[in-house]
Amino acid sequence: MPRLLDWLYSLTTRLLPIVLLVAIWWAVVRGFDVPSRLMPAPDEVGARIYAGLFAQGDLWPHLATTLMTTLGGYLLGTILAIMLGSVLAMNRVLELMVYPIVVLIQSVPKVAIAPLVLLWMGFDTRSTVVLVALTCFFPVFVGTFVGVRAAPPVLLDLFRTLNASTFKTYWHCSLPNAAGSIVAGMQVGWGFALVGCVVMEFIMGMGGAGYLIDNSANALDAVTAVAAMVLLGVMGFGGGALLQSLKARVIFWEGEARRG
Amino acid sequence: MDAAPRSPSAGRQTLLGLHDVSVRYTSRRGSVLALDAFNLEVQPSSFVSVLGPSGCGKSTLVRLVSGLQAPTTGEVRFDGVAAQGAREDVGVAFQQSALLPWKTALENVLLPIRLTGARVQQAMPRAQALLDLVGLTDFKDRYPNELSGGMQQRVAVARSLIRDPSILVMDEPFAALDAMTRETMMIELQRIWMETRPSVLFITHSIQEAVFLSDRVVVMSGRPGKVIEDLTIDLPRPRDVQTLGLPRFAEISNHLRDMLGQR
Repeated sequence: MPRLLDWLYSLTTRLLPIVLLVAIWWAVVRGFDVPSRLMPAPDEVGARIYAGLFAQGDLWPHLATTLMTTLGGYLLGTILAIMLGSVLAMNRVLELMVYPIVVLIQSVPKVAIAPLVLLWMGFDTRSTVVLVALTCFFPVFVGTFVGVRAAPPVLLDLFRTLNASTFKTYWHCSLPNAAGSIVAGMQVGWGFALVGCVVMEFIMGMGGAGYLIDNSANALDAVTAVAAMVLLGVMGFGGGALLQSLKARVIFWEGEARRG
Repeated sequence: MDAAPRSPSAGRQTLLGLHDVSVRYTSRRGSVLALDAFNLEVQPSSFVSVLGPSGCGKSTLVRLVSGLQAPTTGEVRFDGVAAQGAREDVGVAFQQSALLPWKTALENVLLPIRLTGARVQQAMPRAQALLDLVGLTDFKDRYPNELSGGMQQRVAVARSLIRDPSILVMDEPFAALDAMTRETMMIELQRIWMETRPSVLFITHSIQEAVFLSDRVVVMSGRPGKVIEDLTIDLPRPRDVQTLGLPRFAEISNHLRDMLGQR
């Protein structure tokens, strides 16, 4: 019973500020009579989401497009980032040669590359996947690099006394040690990935939540635009929450230590 | 005091020998001589403690014998042959237990086997037996964060014995433990050693541990580290809590305390 109360308490403390924000939104829109073509009230948006998902179902295809494309690019970017981050962390020479290039590429805003990616990859999903991979690459790369490098010296000493090869040291020591840092990078990366996807959808105008927002706003349909925005937020939040629970499960040893 | 006879005696074979070893660390701020003209011999199946003030090069000694570091001059020899790098017949127990937090006690004990690419299954009975030996039979499937500090060190000791080393290097293995656990571990270590009988090079700054556990106690001076005393401990084995109260125990301890105080 106390556990249930704890859970209720933590849920209310988390939800209360959100409920308050929505209430303020509602009060401002209704109180000042803001026209719904500029800024719809929360209940209108809620009704639009319900219609788009269940009654009419016209939002589904766009959401599915955005979700699948983002997932594809995210997987690609994350795998490449973990691989490159690992290799550079384990090899000083490669680090000196390649790390500056990665930083150099990172310092160009990814959004600025979008038109070029389109030019190179063509006018289809491949371009979006590539831009998404580019936008989420860096946080995962840094998370991996830092995590792999942070292996405790005493463990590395142990592996040296056991004559372990660089790969075995990486596989049995440095990589598991980096797991927390990698997932943290992946959490940041997921948000970036959605940005990359939406930007490409703006440019291409061929469907997806980004296209929907752009198109609806142009058509003075703010209700649909805000509804799509909210659903994108849910996607971003959901991904983060999923990774958070994954983190607790995969990195079980970083929980509470029970020492006696 | 009437110091006990000096060892090593000539004639007996030497398992580990450090001959005129010096180690110099060079950094931007200059160079430090950690060990200078250091000589030490360890016979098979003997328990040798190295006692010294902090910064006397004890850790350097560990790194030399475990193959983590090469001497600047001189030689480290196993069975009379100059050694380079890490060796399979040397087990190491570090100051921290150095366990992998994502592996169970049993998996941690098996790690050295896994890394050599040998069949882990074949080593399973030995790993189980070692966990029995260190008194952790019921804890083999626990993760390190579910074990106390003393238990973690027991796992580390079991791991260092899995490849049946001829010499076990222990670098202040009980330093991170509380006083009561240390005393228990000290008595436990004697029992484990008497059952497995590797040579042990035991680095410590505890006079009590050194006298209680050792066949020989080597005292080092401050930097650069040199041997200033090499004492054979003639207390009968097995030693127990009563041994700690013997006049002879106090006598030897006082002598070692004097040796340490001089420098």
